[in-house]
Amino acid sequence: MTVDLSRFQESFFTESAEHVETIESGLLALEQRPTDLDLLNRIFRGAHSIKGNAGMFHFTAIAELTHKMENILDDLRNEKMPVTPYVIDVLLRALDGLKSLLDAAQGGEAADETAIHVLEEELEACQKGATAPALQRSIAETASQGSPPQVATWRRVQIDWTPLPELFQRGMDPAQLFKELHELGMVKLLHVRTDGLPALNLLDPERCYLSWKVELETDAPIAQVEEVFAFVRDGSELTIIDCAPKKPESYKRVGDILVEEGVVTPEQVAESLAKQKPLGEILVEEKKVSPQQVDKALQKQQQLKKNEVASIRVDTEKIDKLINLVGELVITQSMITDLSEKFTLAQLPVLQERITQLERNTREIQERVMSIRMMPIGSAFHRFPRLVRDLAGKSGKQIQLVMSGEETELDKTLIEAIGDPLTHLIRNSADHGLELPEDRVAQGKSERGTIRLHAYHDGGNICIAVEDDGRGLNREKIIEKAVEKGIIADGSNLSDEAVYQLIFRPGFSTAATITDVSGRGVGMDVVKRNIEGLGGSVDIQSAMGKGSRLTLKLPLTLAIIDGMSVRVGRDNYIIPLIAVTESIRPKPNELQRIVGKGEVVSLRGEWVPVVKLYEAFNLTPEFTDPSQALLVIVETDGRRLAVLVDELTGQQQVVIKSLEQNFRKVEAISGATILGDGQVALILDIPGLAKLARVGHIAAA
Amino acid sequence: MTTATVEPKEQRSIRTTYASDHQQYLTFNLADEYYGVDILKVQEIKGYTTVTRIPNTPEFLKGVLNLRGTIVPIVDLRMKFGMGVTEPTSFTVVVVVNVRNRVMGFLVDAVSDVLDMNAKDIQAPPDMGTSVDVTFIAGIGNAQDRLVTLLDIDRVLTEEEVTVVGKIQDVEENAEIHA
Repeated sequence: MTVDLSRFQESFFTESAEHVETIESGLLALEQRPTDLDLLNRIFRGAHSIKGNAGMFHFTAIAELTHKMENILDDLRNEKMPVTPYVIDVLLRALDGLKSLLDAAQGGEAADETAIHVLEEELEACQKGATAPALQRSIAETASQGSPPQVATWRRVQIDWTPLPELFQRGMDPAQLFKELHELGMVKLLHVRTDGLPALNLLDPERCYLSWKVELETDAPIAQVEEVFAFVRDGSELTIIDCAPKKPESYKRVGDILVEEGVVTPEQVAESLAKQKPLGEILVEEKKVSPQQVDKALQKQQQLKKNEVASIRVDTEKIDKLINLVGELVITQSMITDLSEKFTLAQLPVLQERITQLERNTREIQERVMSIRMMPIGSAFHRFPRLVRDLAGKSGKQIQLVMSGEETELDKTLIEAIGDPLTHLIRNSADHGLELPEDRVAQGKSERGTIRLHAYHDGGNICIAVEDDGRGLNREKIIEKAVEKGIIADGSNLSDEAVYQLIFRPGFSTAATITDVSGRGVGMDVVKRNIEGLGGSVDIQSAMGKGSRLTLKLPLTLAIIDGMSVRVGRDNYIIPLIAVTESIRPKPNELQRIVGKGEVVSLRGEWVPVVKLYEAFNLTPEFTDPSQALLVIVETDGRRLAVLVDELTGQQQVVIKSLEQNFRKVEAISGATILGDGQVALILDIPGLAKLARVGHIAAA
Repeated sequence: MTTATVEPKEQRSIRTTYASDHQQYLTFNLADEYYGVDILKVQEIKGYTTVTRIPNTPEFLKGVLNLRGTIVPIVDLRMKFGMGVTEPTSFTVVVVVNVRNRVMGFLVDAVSDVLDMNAKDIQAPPDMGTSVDVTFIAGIGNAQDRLVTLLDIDRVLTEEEVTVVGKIQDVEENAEIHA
């Protein structure tokens, strides 16, 4: 009998990925709050689930590694050893190993077995090594607790059990037995042999045809294990083998043997191991392939990886709600159909009422469906604390990562797509932006550098800013480099903005030294390309010695937005509601002209430039005087703009339709929508409008 | 609103009976001139309703229309050919065509009928010198003693698209530099 396991495996991988995430963030948090038992339990549970599931699917390597992690976690939990940065480090590295094993199991590149073994041994060593001092300390401190570590008594028990066919008739439930076994320790392997199963028509449901093979890891005496089977022993074939407490010395790596024999030190081995290079680099060095070819292959690999995970986990509750709503919709629809069949004018109020209901149903369904795709951006941020911690460790800098706006909701596809660009930016900040502690102190800054990651909505866009308080971009150095590379001519007079944009050129890097983190000149151009591919933009602000701020701006790709419809003459436009802060009718004395042309309006003391929609779009308005018309105050890029319109005609949800599909991009228009009467209305692109207004100004000047 | 879709079944049967040197054209009027387009390019014919104007676009672009949920740009063919603005009448229709994977509408004064043309009856466009642009004319032919100008519909638009988009992008790039 074969069962298609792939379906279950898929969910195993999704779940495991989630557990890995929990463990990782948990470990990082644990470092800050070492005594948080809840947290520890949560980490433990994550590891435990992975182990259990992996055993079920015969991913022994995964189960083994997780088991060793779990041992340490258990000791931490029982306060047999303290939480130290070292322990966290080891666990995090083990977690990386686990990730690579999971990848491998999922059909990715084979995991580096030696590396995994190193990790496993490190875990064991950590457990033993760290246990001893911890105990000593606790003895010294309290002089009362002193139970010897129990690690050594863990053993592996192999159980092979073929029960009597009449097992069920005797009222025995094998599941109960396994539950008991589970209580004794960790069931590492549970294998069901189904070869005894007859064909379905011959199968007697009251007979047991199955037999089991179990590997149990336990600290209980063997007698206790035997006791579990006490009631089913008679007539069953049962073998219980007690394996030695420690793993048999079946396999040893060359490095370990050499270390044991005293030929080399562990450090030397580690050093040599660190020299191992990825295959791609070796191939390039040997001139067998070009770096471009390797890059291409890597990209392809990435792509393949991405294609694998194209599912969203949705709460069943959400789906149930949705199904209920669809049910309601169907009912409403049939009510309307029913009504229309024998409609008289007297029933008009009933019709109106039912249409209102239909409207409500539709809106609710729409909201629910959209919410399925929306996820808080925090899920893209979760990997960064770890990244920053590692980067800090490698570079010897002190870095603190401050994240905000994690709850900002973003379309799932976007969240996936911005992960890599953000990683690049954070690496850049950590590696190039922030200085070493002593340099920082010399400049009067605090020792610890800060990287801020901030997500927020801005005028219908989603912005993600990566900000550091490091040295900032060096204008002179960038120009020097650009001239050297022949990108710009010597003596070109460029604005800061234009200079900063140069760092997005392919192959551009001003880093004095190339580290393994960044400085290879790939990265920034990829960032820009990726973001632009999503229809967004990258903006740089920088101040020498003070830091820099890169803002990724992504369009709201959601197909439906809240819009405010406005009228100018006989044309209707939609302004994304998210950009609108207020609308006012100014008093004549609140309006001023600058240089006889640019008009500004005073908004509670702040002068805001007026953009006349009729001028920008060459329309025939009803009013040209702002004090007779309306000014819609919109905000974009942190700047305000007062858009002059004749009238506000309402507020509604609009479905964004592409203009580009059959036409082309139009300045200051982000798309179109269809109004209730079937007419098309254009949706204003506020940043584009601001730009258009500026261009108009320049042209006029 | 009247919507008449060209019957594809009939069209196919005709095509199979005729040899390949025959082609069918949908003919229409612009002012008092007579034009034809390859019927296979035509998606449907739609009554003219008010369009939504698009700011800062060439004058011949009337605006956009909602065609069952898709936004379709409408070109005033008379404006395009420099024959003045089309004044909507009860005969004014929009010929919806497929042009290089895009759907576009052409505003014409009236559609007349479907014309079978033999390849030998079609003349190459005459050389009119610089006074008349003939790049988008596939040829000229005769039908019931009238001259039919056969349009190469892909070309009528492509050149416009290219030039217009190019201009806008230039402006934008300049703006970047200035900003």
